Amino acid sequence: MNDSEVLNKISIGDESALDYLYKKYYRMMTNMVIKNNGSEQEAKDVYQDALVVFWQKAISGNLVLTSKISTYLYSICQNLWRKELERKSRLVSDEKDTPHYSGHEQEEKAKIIHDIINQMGDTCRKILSYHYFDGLSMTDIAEKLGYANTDTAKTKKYKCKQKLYQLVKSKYSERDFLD
Amino acid sequence: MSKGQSYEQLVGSYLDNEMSEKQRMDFENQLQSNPDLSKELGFQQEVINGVKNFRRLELKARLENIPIYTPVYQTIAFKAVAVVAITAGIGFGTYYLLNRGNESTLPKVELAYTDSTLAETEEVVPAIPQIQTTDTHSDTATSPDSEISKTESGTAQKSKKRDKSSTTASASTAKPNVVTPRVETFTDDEFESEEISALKTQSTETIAEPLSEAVEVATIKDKKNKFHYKFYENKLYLLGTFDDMPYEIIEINSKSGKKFFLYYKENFYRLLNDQVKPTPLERIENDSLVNELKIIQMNKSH
Repeated sequence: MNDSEVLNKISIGDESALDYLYKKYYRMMTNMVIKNNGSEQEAKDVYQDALVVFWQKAISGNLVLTSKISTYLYSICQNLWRKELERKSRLVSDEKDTPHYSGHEQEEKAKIIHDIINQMGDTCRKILSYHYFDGLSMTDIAEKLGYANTDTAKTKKYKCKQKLYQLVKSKYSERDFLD
Repeated sequence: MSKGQSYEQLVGSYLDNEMSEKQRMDFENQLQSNPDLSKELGFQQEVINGVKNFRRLELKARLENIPIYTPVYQTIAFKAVAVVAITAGIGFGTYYLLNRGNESTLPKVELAYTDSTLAETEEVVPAIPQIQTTDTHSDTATSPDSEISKTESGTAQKSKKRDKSSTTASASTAKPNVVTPRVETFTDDEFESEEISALKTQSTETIAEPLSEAVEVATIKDKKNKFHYKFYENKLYLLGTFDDMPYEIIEINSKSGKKFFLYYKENFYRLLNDQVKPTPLERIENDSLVNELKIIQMNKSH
């Protein structure tokens, strides 16, 4: 599969293109992190994040690559790893200055949302993910999920969103996260 | 429509870019003075971020489940690759055909003269590049081909095979000196036990070999070959449906070359890297070998 074939596959939301890239450049990308003081797990994590970033950019169909995918991916990995190293060094100095910091409420809220999405039906999960993360248009989503027309997809999205907000709000109020 | 619902819809249209420019400006102005609206915006943004994060983790989980082949770097004193081929059950004749273009790399095989029949030798002799003879018939021993070309005359062109030395020699002399190879053969079990002893020496040294030399692995959905493999251009292809369960390739580097094993659905399979055509995967049944492979597998994952 060449670069343009990979991009074409991603633009239609074919996740197998992501698998292909993952295997193809695994060593090249993870070695970069490992050679720069990263552990194997960190290297893998950075590479997976980089691919997800790439996916999100490429699926919009607006990504114009002036280099090879591998070069582009490599630079994403470098940026992500640089950020991670900065975060780690900040963390060390923060620990010295402010021994206790709690993002507990935020974490708990994130977990509530995650669990609720996880419990929602496949359709809602897909529609909301494709729309908000992948940035697919409602027409693309209708096509991908086999709906008769865009309006059907829009109605479904609206209902799913409403349901999600409702469920999260009721959980929030249980925990007194809402005033 | 309650106030809460209308805020929800309003914020929803704002976040989904469904507002006109004017509506947008009005909304943003309202935000400054309306804490409820602002709170609703904060809430919806939080949930949408949750959706994004969910999808991000979903894609990462997908990648996490893709098997990445990790080689095991070990030095093992295996027998020559040729012996491996023989013991794996490939007939010597096949072996000859596969290797005839590459004779110089063949191992030295000790030969002894016997009175066995010509037929026995025809298939085998030509594959041997270096012959150690124990016979005093020095002419034929040192240079069988040239000797024959002198003596054969009438009996000559019986066969155009490269084994004509033994053929014509036997035809032109009263007591033919027939060369019969004494080739060590192993049963599958013997071979496996040898592998095991080799595997047991694994902890002695490691080879610092670059990762890039690792063999690439690809799976191909193949209706005809449902559980097969082949090596092609240094790439391993697994034919069949391997997507449903994770598989693992174990590579062992030895002085005599690389050995590959497949671990799939709790079984081990041997992969011979000279198989260029689709070959059925055969399960390794020798318990000791399986145990050794399990140990390697465990060491690798820690």
